[in-house]
Amino acid sequence: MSRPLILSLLISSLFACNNSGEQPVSTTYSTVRPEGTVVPLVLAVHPLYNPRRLEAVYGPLISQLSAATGRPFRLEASRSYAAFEEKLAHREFEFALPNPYQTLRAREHGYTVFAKEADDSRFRGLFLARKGDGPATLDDVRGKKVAFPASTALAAAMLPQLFLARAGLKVGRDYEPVYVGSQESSIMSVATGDVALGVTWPPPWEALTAERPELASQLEVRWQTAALVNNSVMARDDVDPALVALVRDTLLAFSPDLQGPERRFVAADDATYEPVMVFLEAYTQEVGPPP
Amino acid sequence: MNLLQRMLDAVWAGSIRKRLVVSIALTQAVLLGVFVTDLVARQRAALRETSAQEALALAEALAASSTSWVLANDTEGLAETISSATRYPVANAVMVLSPELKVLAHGDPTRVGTWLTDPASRTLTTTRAPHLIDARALDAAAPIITGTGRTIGWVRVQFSLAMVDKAVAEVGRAGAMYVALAVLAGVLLALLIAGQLTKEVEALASVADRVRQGEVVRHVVHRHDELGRLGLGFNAMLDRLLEQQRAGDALRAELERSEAHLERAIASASEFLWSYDPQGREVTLWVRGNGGLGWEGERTRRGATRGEKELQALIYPGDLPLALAWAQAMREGKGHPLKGDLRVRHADGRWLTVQVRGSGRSDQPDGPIDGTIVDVTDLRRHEDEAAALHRRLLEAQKMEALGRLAGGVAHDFNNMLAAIQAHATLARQEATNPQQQQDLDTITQAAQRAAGIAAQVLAFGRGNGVEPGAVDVVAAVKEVRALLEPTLQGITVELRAPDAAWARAERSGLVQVLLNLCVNARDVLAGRGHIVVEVASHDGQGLCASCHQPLLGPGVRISVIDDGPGITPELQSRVFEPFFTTRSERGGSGLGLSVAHGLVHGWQGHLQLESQPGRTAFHAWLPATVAPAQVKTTAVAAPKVAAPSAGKVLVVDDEPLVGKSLARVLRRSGFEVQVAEGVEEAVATFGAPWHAVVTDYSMRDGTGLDLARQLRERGFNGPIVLMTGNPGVVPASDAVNVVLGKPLDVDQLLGWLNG
Repeated sequence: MSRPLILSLLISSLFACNNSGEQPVSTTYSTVRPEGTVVPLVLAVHPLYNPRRLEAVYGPLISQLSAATGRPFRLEASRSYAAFEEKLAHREFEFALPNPYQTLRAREHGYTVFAKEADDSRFRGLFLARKGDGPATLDDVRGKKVAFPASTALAAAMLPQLFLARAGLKVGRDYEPVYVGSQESSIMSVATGDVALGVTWPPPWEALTAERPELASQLEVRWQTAALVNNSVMARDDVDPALVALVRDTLLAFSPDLQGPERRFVAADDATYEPVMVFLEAYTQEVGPPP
Repeated sequence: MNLLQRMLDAVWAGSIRKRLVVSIALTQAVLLGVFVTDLVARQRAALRETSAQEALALAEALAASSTSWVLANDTEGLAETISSATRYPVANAVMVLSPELKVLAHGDPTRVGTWLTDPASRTLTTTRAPHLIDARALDAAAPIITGTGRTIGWVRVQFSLAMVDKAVAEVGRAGAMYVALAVLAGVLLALLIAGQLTKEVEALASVADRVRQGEVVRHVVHRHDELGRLGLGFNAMLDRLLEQQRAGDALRAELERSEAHLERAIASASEFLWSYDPQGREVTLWVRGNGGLGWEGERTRRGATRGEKELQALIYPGDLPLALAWAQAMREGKGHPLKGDLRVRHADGRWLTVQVRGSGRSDQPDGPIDGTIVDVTDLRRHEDEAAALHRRLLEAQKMEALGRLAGGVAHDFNNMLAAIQAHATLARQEATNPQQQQDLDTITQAAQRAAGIAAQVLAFGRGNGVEPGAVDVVAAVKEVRALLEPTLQGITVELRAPDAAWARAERSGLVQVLLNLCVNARDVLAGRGHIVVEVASHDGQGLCASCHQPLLGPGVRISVIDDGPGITPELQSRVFEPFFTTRSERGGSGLGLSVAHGLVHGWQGHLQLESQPGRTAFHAWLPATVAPAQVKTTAVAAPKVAAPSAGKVLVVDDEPLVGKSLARVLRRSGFEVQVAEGVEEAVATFGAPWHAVVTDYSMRDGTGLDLARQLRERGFNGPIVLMTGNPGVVPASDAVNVVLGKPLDVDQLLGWLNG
């Protein structure tokens, strides 16, 4: 090999390792939904639990609905009852699972009941207190702080407040209501001693007992209210009735033993919730205007 | 390329210092350059890997914290969740996507609610694990998975590589700077070392230059390291070289004197020299004068060398055994001195005959053998030609002597026969007894046969004495064929000839020659075979088979060819001798070919012979001539003489017996006869009233022709008849009226004398 060729190779080797010029793949945004994209149907559940738990409870049901109908379903939670109700008012969901009170209000926005959760006896309010602490009698509640998930929570707020009113305790006058935003927050408020009582309803309490027994063991149900009609399942009035019927059939056939926590459904309609109207009248008279 | 070569040479060649500096600089630049380049590449890869991991980790963290907000479809919560990430300095874009790739949250709020449509993004709809969508842009995505395992969305993070590139560029710049500093330091160090080294080397080079110019100088050594030892060794080498140079000069001078002497010796010699190396089996040849074998290098001082095998191919195959024997003897140290001829092939293809002489040193039996070679090609050819010429001369002399002998014998023989025949004729005329008459007739016939033999002997010696002329050879051949055909039972004769071919000869003699040749062929074939008679023009090349003289150029050749057993080489040299025959028991006289020889040579022609088993060819070559129609012939009229009649006749013959016999015959026929026994005696009788003169040709005191001329000069105008036993020797002359051969035909003579 000739001398010039060797030198040329040596010199060129100095510049042979430059690794530049890679161009990334660009991201394309479109304001128009791409053709062929299937938008899932939404089943919105009022904030019974925090979103994660809500998904854990109702996720199997969503999967079942998708499989049964052949169309994708999406579970939508909400950060608060207010947020849920606002979206409900804006008709953002094809299907909704509101509490009985929200059921009545949803009817005003074009939603119709076609099913409901079974076992109405579980739709009641529970007053939790720390064991060996807190009010021993209802009269002891006077002057204390009581935690509620939200003012519109029928089982965990409105039913208990009517319960206390009939015991002579006026909300805001005889005890201080604290609306903490969720069932779990209400439970945690009493567990931490921030409030004398924490109000919730059976499903969250059962979940806590199962998942955090050391915490649940520090608490006890001091009182409970009478039961009312359980949560409804509603469809927006522009949804294909055939699809509504298919969803209803799927709900009624849902097997809680196989698919997750116990959630069974029965057929219902708007008339099923007449007792709620009665309750609201009583609430209005004895507690005040509904929130 | 040439310019680059010159530039490199300008830097590279000519100075050790430059080479050292450039070598170290280049080496450092290359090695460090490669190192830094590799370092930068590794750094880039590491930073990208780290960034990719960070992007994935960030995406996964955001995915975990976004689950609830996605479940709640809470864009505000999502925006709040990713807001911290969008403040990340390298994050180009952070977004939360629905499974359908709808933007739920984005660092750029204007993107919320839009859809991703590019192919890379579409991969998210088919994948469930965190991954890099595009490693080049560090585009990472992590799925948002619920507690039940459902994918409810994606968090996508796009990191900019600007920071990575910036960090890599900084590393590269720092590396380049270190390379430059290292190269600079290396160059300075190389300059320092090279200065120390080349200073001493340049001093050595200076001394070497001065020594080359003839000075006697030495390097001054100041150091004790390797360069110092080099200087000492250099000085020692110069000392040694000086000694060797002086010794070499002396040897060279001696060698030049010796070579000059040798070259003069060789140049002055007509020979050329050779030397044989028995160990290497090679022959070296030197040529200074003319000649040589045409070998490349043979005229140089080193000579031309050939291997033994190669040399063998140049030696004539017939001489190769001798050469091999010489070589074997030389290798065994006992073959010299040697001397002999070899035929070798010159480079131009000619075969040369060379005389080889050689000898080795007696104290080195197996050492080289030197010798001379002399080109004796011409010498040997001249010697061969001289020997052949000598042989031909001897043959010619032999034939000449035979001819003269035969002529002399025939002459005397004819004289005797003339006497016998004359007396027999006289006795026959006088005899009355029938038995005597028959006996005398037998004597006459025998004398006539003897005269025929003598005539053939004379023909061998001098031809038949008839002046040659233009003869159609083809016609003669056809005549002979016609004569022979009745006797050619079982033998075919083929004639190959043109219509006519004219040659200088005598027709009857030519017929005789052809008859002799054809009869010989017929007798050889013994009744079974084939004879070809061919007439053709011939270029006249070659030698005569009987007189061994060269032919005289273009002529006509008559060939008689038979397919008999052939003539052996021993016999071929004798077949033209008179009386030599292989058929004596079958009546062969041994004169056929000798007569042909005499006749053909009398016409300035020649004979050739080719013979081998199955084919024998006799060729008679004759000088060509033109047809007689083109020759102006002038009839030579015989001198008008008075018609002889019964009267006085002078008979002149130095043989008394012949003269008396002839005189007796003439007297009986009515002539008055006087006999003179020589020219002188005959001339002395001049003045007598002779009507005719009958004289012998060859006499002791002169010839009959001389006599005839003298008589004509003195005014004799009567008939003069010239007798001779050898007509071939008688030159033509107007002085005589007729030449008659001996023994005389009496009736013919009387016819002439009577008129």
